[in-house]
Amino acid sequence: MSKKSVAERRQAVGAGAGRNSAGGGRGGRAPSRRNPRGQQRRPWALYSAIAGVVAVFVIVVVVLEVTAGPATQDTQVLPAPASVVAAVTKVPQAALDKVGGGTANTPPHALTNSTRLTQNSKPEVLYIGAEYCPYCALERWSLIGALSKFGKFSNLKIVRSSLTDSAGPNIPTFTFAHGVGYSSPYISFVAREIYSNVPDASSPTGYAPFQTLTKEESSLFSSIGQDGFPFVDFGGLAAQVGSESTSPGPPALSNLSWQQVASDLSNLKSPQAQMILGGINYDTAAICKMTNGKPGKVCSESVVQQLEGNL
Amino acid sequence: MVTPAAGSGGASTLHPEESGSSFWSGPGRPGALLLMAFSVCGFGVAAYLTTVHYANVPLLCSASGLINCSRVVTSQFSVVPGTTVPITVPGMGFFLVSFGLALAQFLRPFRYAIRQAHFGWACLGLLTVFYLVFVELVELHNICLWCTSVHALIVLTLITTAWRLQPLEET
Repeated sequence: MSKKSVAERRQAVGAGAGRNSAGGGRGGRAPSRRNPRGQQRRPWALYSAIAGVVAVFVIVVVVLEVTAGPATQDTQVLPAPASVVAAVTKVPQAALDKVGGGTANTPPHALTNSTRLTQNSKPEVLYIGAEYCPYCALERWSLIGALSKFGKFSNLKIVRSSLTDSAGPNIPTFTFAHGVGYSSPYISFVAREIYSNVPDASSPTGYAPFQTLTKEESSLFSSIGQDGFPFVDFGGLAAQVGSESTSPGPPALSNLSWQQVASDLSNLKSPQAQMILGGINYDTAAICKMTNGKPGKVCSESVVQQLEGNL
Repeated sequence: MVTPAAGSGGASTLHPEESGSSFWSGPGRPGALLLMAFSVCGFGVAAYLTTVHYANVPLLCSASGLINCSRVVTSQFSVVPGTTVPITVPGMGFFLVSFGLALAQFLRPFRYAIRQAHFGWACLGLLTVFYLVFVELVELHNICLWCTSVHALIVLTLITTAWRLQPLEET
């Protein structure tokens, strides 16, 4: 636009206003709506309608939030939905390759001079945790994903972690108790949930004691695990204390449904996928160390070999 | 400078926005500039979120607790339903159209129809804000501060356009 045309436009605006002030017209202007005092009216009815719609929306959201929020600890133990089991036990290798270690910042570490764990002549993975524990809740997703590469779970059950734990409340997860089975030609899996998610004021943790440890398990739990859970001993060759990801950690799963977490696993950019798939890769690498690289199809994956070297 | 005609019994009193006639502060123009500013800010935030989506880089925001931007922008609700297009793309489109309407009001300050159109567009924006806030609070139980800033800009646009629906002086 030329300077002249801008000047003309400015002049036209001023002139237009002048004409209007003198009673002249200009196309596109609204017709007069003044009250007797000469003040312009505002569409207050319209404003009220908008405010009313907003108020209704706020009330609906508040009511839904109040009525939907969990008020008490969920202690139900339910069969795991097939879609959730499939999502965590059949993660595509391409997804695992892409995530690699993910956001796992406290992966398993190698053990030296530790007792070799075996059961039924197979190297043993020992898990010690608690159903109320938020870090255990996160760790189970990864451990199930990794163990499913070497064998098969049966009767998987779902539970929720503590509703009030500040480390991340109300996390959808699984339990290894309540009749859950696991079979594998390569390894044995022993799991102990030493506390349930049922509140118990007389318990030191605030939750009822559940399964008990053998003397050997208790010794390993104290010496290597420092009495902290989750504790996973990979055949005496490597150990995991706590969950593999602490940032963002359990809070990223708080108040989600199992289906939401399962859905998030296919979104590789999500913090849930980064933590859980990264954990699956590290746990797989640790188990491959136990099985001397068997099965080859699992342990020869480049991401597994790379992480195994990091242990 | 246009001044109210004396002795006109108030009938020719100018609209408050028309008391100045410079290029920037002329009739209706400060409001149009404000709307353009909202549009630029909103477009910027939506463009940032779109970039984060496609570049797969971390979002500058908390990723845990109630304020969890990552959780919201990577959820199943973060894309246009039935597509893989991030919902921030239509968000950019919203602010682009909003900027165009604000610019048209700046250049054609007396076209009342443009103000009405912008108000209607902002109402459409409010509906999307309702949907997205519902998803954040009821479905995800997480709030994304970036998204909230976009929602606030849409609401501010609605308030401004509603306020500018005041009819102009008589002809």
